[in-house]
Amino acid sequence: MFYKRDNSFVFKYGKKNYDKAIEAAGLCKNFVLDKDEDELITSTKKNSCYNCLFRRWCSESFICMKKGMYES
Amino acid sequence: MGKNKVYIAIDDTDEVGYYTSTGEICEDIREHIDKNYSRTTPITRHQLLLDDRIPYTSHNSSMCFTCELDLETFEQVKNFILSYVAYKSAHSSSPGVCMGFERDICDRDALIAYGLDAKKRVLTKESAYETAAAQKLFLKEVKNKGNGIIGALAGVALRAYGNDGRIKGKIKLGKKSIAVSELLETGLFEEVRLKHGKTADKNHHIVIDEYLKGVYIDHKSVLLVEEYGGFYKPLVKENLLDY
Repeated sequence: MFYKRDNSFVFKYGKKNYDKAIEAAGLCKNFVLDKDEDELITSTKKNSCYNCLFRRWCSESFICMKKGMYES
Repeated sequence: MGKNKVYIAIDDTDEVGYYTSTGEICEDIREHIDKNYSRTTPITRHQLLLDDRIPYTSHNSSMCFTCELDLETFEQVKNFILSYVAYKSAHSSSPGVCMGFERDICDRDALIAYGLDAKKRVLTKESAYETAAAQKLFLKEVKNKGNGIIGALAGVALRAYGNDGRIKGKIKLGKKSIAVSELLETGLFEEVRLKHGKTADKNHHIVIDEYLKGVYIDHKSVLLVEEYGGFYKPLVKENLLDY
């Protein structure tokens, strides 16, 4: 689901693959829903990497900061 | 000097995994002003450039709202915001605050150009200070590197632009549908538009799934809708991400 760029883990499906982002969150034991509801971008199922407190948006996708903490 | 319109924006108050967000801190500030000083306007969220060279936490967005203050209450509010942001922001964050009277802005177009630049280019603190000084805006680093001044100034600039950002918060009406005219009478939105820009028919009904969320267009709080089998349906979040 992610590829490594320098020391970061980038979601390989970009910003608009809502199904893959939900699937990735389902596989992740570190998922935490962002506490600011305004920053949740998925209108259907909320448990999506796109809504996770540990995502950092970048120009083409997002970086998982939690993976960066433990797997770099 | 009586009361005049004041822009207030903050940025860069959190860190990875922090318990609160810049939007929520801004909402606290807005509520404090609303309760003690002046009627306020809704907060707009302005998306800035996403670029690895910028040390943002997760979104690189800035929050802005307006209120009405005089010189004395401006100082009181400024002191409150600086201490509140210092207290509530994350230990490693680099918050910035921007405030100013609309009437003091000398060159509105130059300020707006700065805001639009912040959506496309990596900007420096030096250019932020230069722009703020030229437009007579108060700009302050609250702690650490204070990089949030860049986004805070951009927040004021984009709010002044009037065609950028989503409105913070969700509006729940507790009903499944409402006529466009009835919604406008509530004052919650100033206009209802179809997604391609046409003004919505006031006699049409909007089908509400869960909540309503506005965007900021032409200096107005606007609900964007699309045709839906003889009704209107608000655009879902995924379709508002460009605002």
